Amino acid sequence: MTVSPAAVRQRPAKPHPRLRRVGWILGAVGVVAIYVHAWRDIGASVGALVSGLGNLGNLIHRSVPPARDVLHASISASIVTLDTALIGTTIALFLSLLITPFAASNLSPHRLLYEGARIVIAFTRTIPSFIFALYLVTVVGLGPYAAALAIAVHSVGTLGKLFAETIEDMEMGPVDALRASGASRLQVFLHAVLPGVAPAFVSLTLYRFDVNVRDSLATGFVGGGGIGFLMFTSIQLFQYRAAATELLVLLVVLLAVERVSTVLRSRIV
Amino acid sequence: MTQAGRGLEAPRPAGAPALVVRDLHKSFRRNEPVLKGIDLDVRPGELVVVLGANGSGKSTLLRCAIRLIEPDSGRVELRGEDITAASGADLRRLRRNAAMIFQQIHLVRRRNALDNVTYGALGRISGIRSLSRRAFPDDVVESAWRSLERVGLAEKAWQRADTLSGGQAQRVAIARALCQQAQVILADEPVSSLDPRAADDVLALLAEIATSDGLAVACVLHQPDLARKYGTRIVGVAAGEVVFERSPTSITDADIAHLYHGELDDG
Repeated sequence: MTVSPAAVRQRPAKPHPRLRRVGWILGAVGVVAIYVHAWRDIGASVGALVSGLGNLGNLIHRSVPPARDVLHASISASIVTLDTALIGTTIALFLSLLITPFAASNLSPHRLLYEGARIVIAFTRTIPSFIFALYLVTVVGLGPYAAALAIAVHSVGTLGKLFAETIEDMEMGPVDALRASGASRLQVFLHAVLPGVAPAFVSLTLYRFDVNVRDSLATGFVGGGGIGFLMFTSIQLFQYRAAATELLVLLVVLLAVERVSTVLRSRIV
Repeated sequence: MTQAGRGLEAPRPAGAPALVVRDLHKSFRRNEPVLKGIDLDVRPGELVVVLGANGSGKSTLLRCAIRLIEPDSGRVELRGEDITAASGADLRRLRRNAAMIFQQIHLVRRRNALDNVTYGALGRISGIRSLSRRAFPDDVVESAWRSLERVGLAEKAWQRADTLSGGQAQRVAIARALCQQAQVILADEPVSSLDPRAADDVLALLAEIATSDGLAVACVLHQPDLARKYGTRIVGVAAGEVVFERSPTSITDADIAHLYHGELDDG
């Protein structure tokens, strides 16, 4: 198709961009200012990094060879870490299944219940599990139980949010069909919603378990036990050879968990 | 198109209508009414085809009839009971009287055909046994089997819904409607996603159910040929209003052109 010169003349002119350009310049200046402030705030300096490289060599020297005598303790502490993540994730799975029907906007029976569920999810999701652990060790005492509870509380938020989003994205047809036949909300949820989202829920939970194994290291630092606690202690006591062993065991465990979680998830979806 | 012996006059089976719609109004946006006072009666044994262009409001009409969409005003009676005023458990009980069949079929994809058929009965199973499909009462499972046999798909009972062909899936959906034991079937463009042969099968089945089981079937279509072939009565809807009511033999090409005229203009 050819365009006549007359038609070209009729095209609207590009709106004058002066105001937008001023906006861009102000924005760029603002971003640079934030970076300058942040760099100074953390006391960052290239010189400190270069002159500190010697310390790094020293650190590596003091870490080899890894200590053999803590191998057994490292392995059993790793299992405690896995147990913490397992129990925490499982508790979170059940709690988030209870909260999800209210937190999905397309299923929630009432606006207030929806808002309430969303507040619970936002609160638990925003606060990291090791912060919850700091409080929970004073409730149930030091150790992995507090860590598992902390992980459970935080994961209710993360899982609940992902579950609710999965339900909001799902195909609503079968839900309408069952509602139309006179099924109750609970029946619709169990027979039309869950079958549709179950594979996604399992996959999200496996992924969450993988993340929670790493989270339970951080809860270990604040008194939640497991391999995280062991490493924290070794480093505080300058036992770098023990820390090296623990780090190696940790690496193997984390890689194994990630691998298993990935393989299982690829089988499901 | 018209088969011999069918639709020579507009047959109106005797008896009270199972579905009565009176003066139904609905707009989704202010000053843009989708339904402008629709009246519709469907008697047991009838297959009433609601014919109309896209956007004429015919699907909204069916959805309002069981309040999947809330009508703004007007009355809908199922077997003489007003559904527009009901809420909660009452609404669920009244909804059981009307089974809905959808264009997109809407089976639960990861469940087998038999399970999907039993779901039609959820409205009448109460308590703990309704929570797991493995605990459904025997009579429900029996009624599901009979419904599947009725649509000729018993051999597909254990097949997952997402492995059925479109025509088979729609017949399973009809079996689900039968298992619901409703007196009214509301079919919303049930054959629009099917090939012509499957479309023919599905409409023949609906017509057969209407006549031999005495169900009141309201079926939204936009294929005039199929409407003529299977409808016992044809109601034309345009711009949210009933513009004609004809027997399959008395409907003229002019009637049909009238329905689709507006859409051609818009296009």
